[in-house]
Amino acid sequence: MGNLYAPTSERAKALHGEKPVELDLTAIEEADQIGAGHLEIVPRTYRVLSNNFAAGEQGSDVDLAMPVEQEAALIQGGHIERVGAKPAKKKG
Amino acid sequence: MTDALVIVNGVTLSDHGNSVQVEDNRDPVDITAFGAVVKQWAKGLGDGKITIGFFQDFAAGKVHATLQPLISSSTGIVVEVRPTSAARSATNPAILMTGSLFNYSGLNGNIGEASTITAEFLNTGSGGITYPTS
Repeated sequence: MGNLYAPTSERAKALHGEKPVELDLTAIEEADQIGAGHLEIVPRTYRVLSNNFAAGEQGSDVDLAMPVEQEAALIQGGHIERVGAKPAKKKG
Repeated sequence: MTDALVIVNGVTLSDHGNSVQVEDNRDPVDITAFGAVVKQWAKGLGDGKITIGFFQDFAAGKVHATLQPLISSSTGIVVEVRPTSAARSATNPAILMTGSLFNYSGLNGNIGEASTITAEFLNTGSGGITYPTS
């Protein structure tokens, strides 16, 4: 599951364009790109599923900018889900 | 200590915690030179460790669901503990560290006992342990 990044360096803008881009980076690639100043994580909307997540009340939507591994840990733990990321229900 | 606050990766797990240990250390560096009659020490690199004990719970959103994904993750997450669950203040400072989970004892106990596990976080950030009061 990729993350949404804003290119911030001239190099990244030349590679990806000026607008935010969805990239499927590993945690190491992501940390390298952010640490080098090429990319910045764009906040995404998440729905809070658990009653013990500090960023928001259960059932509320919150905007968060998280590294891929942190997001994966919270999704796997049942704390959040991406808004609009649910697969369409099958008919019949 | 009766009401400590425990937040791991933004998830409040205080209601399952039963012990907290914070270690904010500096390596001792021996700088004793010839002619000295007593040892002299300088402070070297800092280090931080937060160890938290929990009653294990495998339900969604609880202890295992929150901690288990972190053992295979290399991305640092924020661990915060406070003496009490009240808001941060000068008398109830937060103890904050960006760290990773290095040891996780997922199941531990004897017959007839609650499963009490420990999670050991080591510092992975550049700032070590900090103590914000607001």
